[in-house]
Amino acid sequence: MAISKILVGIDGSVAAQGAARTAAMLAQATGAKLTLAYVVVPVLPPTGAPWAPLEELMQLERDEGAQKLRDAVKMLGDPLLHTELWMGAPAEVLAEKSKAEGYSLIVVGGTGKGAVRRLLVGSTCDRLVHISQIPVLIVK
Amino acid sequence: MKTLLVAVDGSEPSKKGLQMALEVAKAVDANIELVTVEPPILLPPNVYAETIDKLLEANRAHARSILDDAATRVAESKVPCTKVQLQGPPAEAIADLAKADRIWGVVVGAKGHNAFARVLLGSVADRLMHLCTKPVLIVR
Repeated sequence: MAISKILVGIDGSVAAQGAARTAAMLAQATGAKLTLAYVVVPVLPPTGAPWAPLEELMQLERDEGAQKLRDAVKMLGDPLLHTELWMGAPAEVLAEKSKAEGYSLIVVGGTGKGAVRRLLVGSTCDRLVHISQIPVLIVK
Repeated sequence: MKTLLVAVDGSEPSKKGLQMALEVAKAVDANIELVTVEPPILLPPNVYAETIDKLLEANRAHARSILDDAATRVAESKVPCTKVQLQGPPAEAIADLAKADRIWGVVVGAKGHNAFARVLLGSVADRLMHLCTKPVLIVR
């Protein structure tokens, strides 16, 4: 069970920065390949506004994700880091891709950008731990 | 020198957790602290005190053998190791122990002996990841 590929899910939150740093430290120590991933959540039109400019909103979301990936790469100081911009429900996408692409470990922050502040563990992280088939490291 | 707290209960996921913990410990030059928890036993009030004592003693001996097995495994990998045996509700006891300054994070199997076959995440791992204030690695 050698640790050869590490996937870290980021969302621009403070906990995700900690997760990215921890993942980078582990990748360096184990010689594993590190991938940073951002998952864009599909935009739903507001109720009663089916004419909302969905495509433009999606593009904005994608741009934001790409920017956060660039920020994280800059923070870790390794311009050659592999990044992925995926789309879908974050926990499901991370679980599926990590399994399909043979990752040995997923690293996530305990709390993301979600609204409920009393939680020690955010909803994406909670869901991921329940459905992932590979080990998950939660960094708080 | 960092310490990884590894929760063991003799189950398959916990063995895999220990294996991954050993790999991380070797890579980042960490110690391993093995912990096992004797869960509280619930019995009807009319059970003889002597019976309770026997059960507690059997539980204690079982916990000790689980720790000893895990310690043997760690010794094979030449990683420095200590053992802790606790009583009480497992997730709470482990989260409490993890508060110690020496502990970097906790490694736990996704499910132990009590989980239904259909659940992917056992109650101890689920509760621990919510209670623990340090990084938690959940291994399946």
